[in-house]
Order: sequence, then structure tokens, then C-alpha cells
Amino acid sequence: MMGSNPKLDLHPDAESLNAFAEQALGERERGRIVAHLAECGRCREVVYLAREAAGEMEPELAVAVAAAGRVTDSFERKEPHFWNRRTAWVAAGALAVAVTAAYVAHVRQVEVATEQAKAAREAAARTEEMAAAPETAQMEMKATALQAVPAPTAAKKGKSEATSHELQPMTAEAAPPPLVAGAMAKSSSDERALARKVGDGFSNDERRGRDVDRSGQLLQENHSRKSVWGHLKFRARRLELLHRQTRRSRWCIRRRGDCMRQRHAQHRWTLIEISLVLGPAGGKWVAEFLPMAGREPAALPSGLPAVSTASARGLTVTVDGAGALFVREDAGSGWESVTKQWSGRAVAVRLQVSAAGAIASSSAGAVFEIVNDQGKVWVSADGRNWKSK
Amino acid sequence: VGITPAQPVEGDASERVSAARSAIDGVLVDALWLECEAAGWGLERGEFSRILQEVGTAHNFGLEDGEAASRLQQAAYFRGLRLGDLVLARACAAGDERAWERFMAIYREPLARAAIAITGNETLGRELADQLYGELYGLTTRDGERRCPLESYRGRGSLMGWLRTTLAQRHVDHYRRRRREEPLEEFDTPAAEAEVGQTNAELTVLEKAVEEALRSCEAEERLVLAAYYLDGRTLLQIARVLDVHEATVSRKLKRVCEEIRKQVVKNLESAGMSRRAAEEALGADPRDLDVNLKKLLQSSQSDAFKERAG
Repeated sequence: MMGSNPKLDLHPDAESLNAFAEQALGERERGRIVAHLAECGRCREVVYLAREAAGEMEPELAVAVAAAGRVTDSFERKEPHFWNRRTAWVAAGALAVAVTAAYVAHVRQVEVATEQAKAAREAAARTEEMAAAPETAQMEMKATALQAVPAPTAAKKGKSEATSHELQPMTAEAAPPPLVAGAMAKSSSDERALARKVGDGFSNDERRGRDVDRSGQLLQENHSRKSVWGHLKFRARRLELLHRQTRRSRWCIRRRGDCMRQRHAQHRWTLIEISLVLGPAGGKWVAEFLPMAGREPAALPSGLPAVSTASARGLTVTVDGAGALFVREDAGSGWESVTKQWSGRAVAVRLQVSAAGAIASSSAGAVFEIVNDQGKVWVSADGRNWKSK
Repeated sequence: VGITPAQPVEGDASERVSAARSAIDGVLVDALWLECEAAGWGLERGEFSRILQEVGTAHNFGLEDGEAASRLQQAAYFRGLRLGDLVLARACAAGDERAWERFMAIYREPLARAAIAITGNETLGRELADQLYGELYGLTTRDGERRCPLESYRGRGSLMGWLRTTLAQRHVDHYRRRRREEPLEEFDTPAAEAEVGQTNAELTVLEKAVEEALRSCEAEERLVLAAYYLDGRTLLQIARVLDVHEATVSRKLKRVCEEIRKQVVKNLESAGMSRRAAEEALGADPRDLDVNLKKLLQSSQSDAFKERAG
């Protein structure tokens, strides 16, 4: 370790300093060299000079090594031939794998597109058949139809478990968050509660008609899909810049001014994905949000985790793991317990949807629905007073 | 050479006990010997295994002192070395003509360029490179024995890097020796004993507080401080040495300065000063500590190398 000069025996030798500069030392010995360099100006100077000289010489050295390899052919290693041949085989294999993967991806894409179109056609047909059916059935059918149409980016698994709900049939037992056009709902069934927003336009209200037209054109001209997708991604980036979304992010997206005013609202969300859903009536976009870390909603009075939550009209209604219901106003700081007015155990709360697929908006009409463990439904306009449906 | 390929390599009789603990597997030696084509440079298997033994035991195969290396650990250590460079260096040290031809073909011009880059002067650079060549050829002797610096190369890092570092060492040592021998042209006026408004007692307390604060810094933090404030190196230069990004060095520097400042204020307060007095004593800019930093950092060598030197 030490140099041969006794006067320099306090310094690491050239080999150690060079190994340090080339990051070839173990953690322990590197620590010793660093400790020495911190206190030794001479060795710091040596390392600086050697390092700076190295920066100017690397290409030149490579040329010299190559040239030396040519002139000393009697000592050429045999390995390069072997490696060259093996490298060629590896490259050929990689190319074959890439071509196969591209073909499989293409076939899969065609299959997905076919399934999407088929599911959309079936949903439209069922909508027509069930026109006179009860409102709940329509809502469930619509949600199922939307879930059955996979979003282009929904294939990216691993972002959220809630994403996997999309292709599952909707049952009262499972009670996934309803996908409601133009509204947002979230599931709190796990810690990474996912909020999802589904919209029928691509931008603010004044551009809505044109966007729908563009999406309608999408169904016929597949090549324009890329441009619309780019538009959505642009909007996703814009939303990410805001970085603070409230539960009423529906309005944040359409009216950014509202969003900015609601920056300090209690719930904040981060957009994680925005995807395009193609349907017979035009394009729909789906934006998914996750609550920002450290900004989880206030704990429920029961101390149990919320399993289902819905928000509308400035109200948030949630069901905890024991089936108890709580309501809170946006401006409020705490949850209000709701007296039980239903049978069984409430397992889910969701927003009611009109036949047109929009959230119920009349002041007298019901907005919220709860589903008990037997599949029965109760409705409420204010989240406090419930009646059987 | 009287050693069968599968036979473990051992050292002298006096070292037999310790060497037995770290004896290198003969199969591994054979494999490395063939891979390096050491025979092409005139290195017989016995000599090659002796070199491996020396290189491995010099750093205990990268393990803690006293820890016995398993065969796998030995193999991993040797696989991490530049064995090709090591064989060439040792063959040159042994005086093999073909090895020298190879060495000259690869390193002659890069070495001269490195010397010029280090000295900043072509004449001085060529002179420095020639001087090193003289040493490498073994023109110097010690105790009647020909000495070649290439024998100290152990394969950790590239041979070119070792040559550059050796050149830099020679240059720095030469420069420092020459500076010490030069007469002082003018008498340096001593620095003022104390600033206006500050008593010696306050300065002593401040110095002690700074010393304690610096002592609490980690080695890498002290290295960054010394490189930036004492050596006047740029963030980029420091980043290259530490193999991190320039911005990382910048952040580290800022954080260390803030921590030192806080620690000094805390130390001053614990020494009886009020917070306001401590802030005033410290000054607004942490770089005001430059003089004390130099004094503290350059005053001693690291404990680790003191131990090795003893």
C-alpha cells in the first residue's frame, strides 16, 4: 500500500490512488483513501492531475491499444474470434426475438381492437333493449359496458390494483367504483385508493363539440388516433403541472380557474394516467388519480378504513368496513355519522346516473346510492336521508 | 518449475503458516494463467502463481484483515483485477523484450501526452516521461538490486491509470521539493492576531468550535470542503474525482456548509455565548471559516495511514 519512498510513507501508493480514481476499490479501502485525501493536499493534487490527464487521453489510448494489437500479432488472443462469432449469434437471436415480439404485439393489438369494437356494439345493443328497464339496471349496464372496454393504456399493469377491476363484471358483492360518465368516484378498498374520472369531452366546454366530432372521426380513421392521444397526453402533463387536484377534479379539468381556487382543499390527487376509451357514441377519456402521500382523507369516526366513497354536490359519502355510513361536506372538517335507514350491511356507495349517462343534477333528485350486502339499493339526495329504491 | 498444475501455491517456509490460509487454488491459477496468456510474456506458471499470491495477500483478497478468503472469494477478487495489464507489467519488470515492445507500442505516446498534460509544458512533460521510463527500465538500483516501479503495480485499476498517477506523483513531489528549496524572496507579513472587536479568548473559543464541527464531518465531506475551498477546484473537477455528478457535489457542499455553521453556533452557545454573539462571531458567510479550515485540515495526516506508516 505504501510507496517505496520512506518520506512519502504517509501517503497511499500510486496503485491505490489510481484504483480510487478508477472506482476499483472496495468500500472499506475507499473510505480510508477518502479520509486521507481530505487531509492531504499532496495526494489530492496527484489525483486531480491524473484524472485530468485521463480525460484527454482515453481516445488516444484506445487507438494505441488497437494499433499495438495489430503489430503484435504473434500474441493475439484467440478469444476475440470466438467472441465475435458469439456476438454475431447473440445479435441474430436478439433480432429474431424482436421480430417475433413485434408480430405478437401486432396480433394482440388487432385482437384488442376487435374486442373493443365488439364490446361497444354489445353495450349499445343492450342499451337499446333495456331502454325501459329500471334506472339502476341501466346504470350498472353502462358501467359494465365502460369497464368492458379496455383503455389503451390500461394494459399497463402494476400501477394500481384498482386498474384490474376494469375487465371484471360488476357485482354488488365486489362493488367496484362505478364508472360514471362525467363524474368521478373512488374506491378506498385498499390503501392506494384510486380515483377515476371519465369524461365525454377532451377539453373545456367550448371545445367539447369539436372534440366529440374528432373522436367520432377516430372510429373511422384510425390514423388520427395518434393525434388525439397526443392531445390527451398534453392535457395530462398540464394537469400534472397543477399537481393539486380536489375531489371535484371534474371541474378542475374543465375550468382550471376553479382548480386553482381549490388548491387548499383537503383532498389532493395526483394524476397517474389518462387514457382514451373508444365507444360507439364517440371517444371518452378516463383520468385516474391517486391521493397524494400524506394527504389522505381524515380518518373516519369508526376508525375503520373506508371501503367505498362517492362525491357530488360538495358532499362526500363513504362506507367503512363495518357498513356504517358517513357524510361530510367539502368545507367541513369532520365526518358526520348517518343513522342506519337500510337493511343489511352497506357495502358500497356510488353516484346515480341518468339514462343519458350524466350524473343526476336536479336539486330534488337522488344523487347517491348505497348497495347493501344483498344487492338492494337505497338512494339519497343529501347523503343523510335514504329511501329504498 | 517443479509445481504440478493442481498443486496449491505456497510461499517461503517462514510464511508457510499464513500462506496456507490463503493458498490459491491450483485450478484457478491454471485457468487465469491460460486466460492471460502469461506464457506468451515469458511468465511460467510458478512465477505467475507467485505474483497472484503476492497480489492477493497484499490486500487480503479485498477482505477484512485476518479474514480467510474462500476459493470463490479469491476467484472473484482476481476476476476483478486487470490481469492482462498485471502480466504485462510484471513481464516488463522481469525484462522480457517482447513485453517491452508491447508496452512501448501501447503506452509510449500516451505516457508522453499524459506527462505534458500534467506539467502543462511539452519540454517538462517529455522530461518527466523520460525520467519515468528510466525508472521503469530499472536503471535505478537499491541495495545492489535492480528496482522497477512496475513491480508495485497490482492490477487494481488500469496500467495506464497507474502510469498517469505515478507521473503525477513524481511531478507533485518534484514541484513541492523545488518550492521548499527556493529562497523566500520576500518576508511574509504575519496575519493580524485578532480582528477588531474580537478578543483572543473569543477567537480561541471560535477556533475550538470550528475544530469540533469539522471533526464531526464525514471524511468525504471534509474532502469536498478541502478540494473546493483550499485547493480552489471546480465542482466539475471534484465530481470527476468522486465519480458523481457536478450537481451532487454542489448540493453536498451547500449542505455541509450549513451543517458546519449550525454546529459551530451550537458549539459556541454551549461554550457560554449567546446565540446573537455566536452568530456575530461566526459571521454571515460560512466561507469566512476558510483560514481555520486550512489550518485544521492540513495540520495532520489521517489516522488510517499513520497506522500503516508506523
